[in-house]
Amino acid sequence: MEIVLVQVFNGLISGAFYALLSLGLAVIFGMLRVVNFMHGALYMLGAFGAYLLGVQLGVSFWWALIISPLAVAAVGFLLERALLRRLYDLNVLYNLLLTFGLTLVIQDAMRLRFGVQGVPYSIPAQLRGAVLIGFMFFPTYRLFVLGFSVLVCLGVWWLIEHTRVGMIIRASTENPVLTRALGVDVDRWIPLVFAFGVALAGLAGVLAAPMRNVSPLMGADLIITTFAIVVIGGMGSILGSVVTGFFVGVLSALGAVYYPPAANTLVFIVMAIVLLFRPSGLFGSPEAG
Amino acid sequence: MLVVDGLQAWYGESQVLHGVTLEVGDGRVVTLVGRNGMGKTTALRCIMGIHRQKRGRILLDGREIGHLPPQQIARMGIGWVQDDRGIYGTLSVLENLLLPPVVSDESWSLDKIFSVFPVLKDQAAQSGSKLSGGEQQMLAIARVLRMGARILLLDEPTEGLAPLLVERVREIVKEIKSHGLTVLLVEQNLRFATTVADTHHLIVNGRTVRSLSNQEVVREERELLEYLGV
Repeated sequence: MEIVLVQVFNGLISGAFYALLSLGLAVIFGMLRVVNFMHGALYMLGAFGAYLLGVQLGVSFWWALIISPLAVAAVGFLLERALLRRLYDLNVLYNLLLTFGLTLVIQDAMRLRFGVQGVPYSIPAQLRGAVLIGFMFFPTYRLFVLGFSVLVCLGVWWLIEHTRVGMIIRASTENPVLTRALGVDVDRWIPLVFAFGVALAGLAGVLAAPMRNVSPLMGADLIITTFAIVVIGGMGSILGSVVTGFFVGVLSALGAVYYPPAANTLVFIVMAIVLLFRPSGLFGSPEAG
Repeated sequence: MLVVDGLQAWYGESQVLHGVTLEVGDGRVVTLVGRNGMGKTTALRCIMGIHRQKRGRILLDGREIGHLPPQQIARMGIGWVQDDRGIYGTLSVLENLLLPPVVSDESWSLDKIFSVFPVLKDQAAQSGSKLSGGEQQMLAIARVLRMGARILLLDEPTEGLAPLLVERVREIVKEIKSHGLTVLLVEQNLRFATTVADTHHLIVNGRTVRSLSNQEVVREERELLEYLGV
């Protein structure tokens, strides 16, 4: 029984990363109809951002948590303006290919500079050690990651439900043609929404830095599962991406206990089943997409 | 004044509009009547800047607008009410109303909208998808009035509505007209068209073949109904 609870907690931690990543992907897909393949690479840049800020400039984890996502947002903004926007009128596959290509470029550039081994990044002093939760000790930093991720997801949800930008994002996700025909300047928001979505990936990267190896390929392992999560939750669905992110995290962690060979496959089995019965995903509406 | 002159449109290789010509004077209600599949909806989508594979002239107050994107056309005061009403289910009724930017001084205040459409006030916090077909139609019209549209493009507003609601839509179109606004109404329902409009353009196979006044429509009703295949 205890092992199950421990694994549920571990699963929630992985879920915290999945939720942040798939949330960004969902917002971007909803507004831009772009499947952003480089999301994992930008997550990796977020982690390296924290590392470089620390090593080169002595910036603390806490400042890195703000600065690095902003830097990733700036990279995203520039790439969108310089490249992605040229392909919006074409089939969605073109931007998938473009962002896939950019992923390879970013990953290899980082590999040339830092090698494949990765670099260490230590847990901030305030969050070292472990705390007793009920029956077990749990690493403080991991609890922080979980709490922080939940807060960010709630914050993003609030923004989307209660602000004018959020309203425009929801409307464009549901019916982009009509939204333009109602005089809404959707195009003005597109680069900002893209930057916002990738900033969430950058933020996840910073959070990952102290607990996972900061390496050029760290995003590549994560991105495929994250795509499966977005599909299960429903392309463009905000709630779906967050809920499914945590769900898949827990599912994989439990799978690792009960039937380890299937742990990494489970998410794809779930995806296949969901697609059979609800082709637009658990939380998706048939019109969007 | 909205003028469409020799409008042609294509979907890929196949041409669907072969010459649509019509004139909508300020403060008038003008219809484009024709059977299903004659290109009525495509004509509206061309005016709105949504359908881009097109040729011909579209003039608003003498200015060519055919090359402009939809958001700019909307901002010039053209309000599109699409045939499936286009109500956002992820937005509340109130948010549906507030989504378009206010584009002119003629924008209706929320008070004015709620006094004309009290049902929208009662359901303001509901999701747009919870409304009935008739209520969605009212919301779609109210939404472009709030935006400040001077010219409304109504795509079959009575489609699928019960007789009582058709009557309500008739009252609304008259109300819109009494405020000095202009309406281009796309219709299959000739009887409904003659009770609200001044002039009618008959569209057959993607081409406007005749312009008729109300009296002419009434006089030739039998032949026209045959044309419309009713």
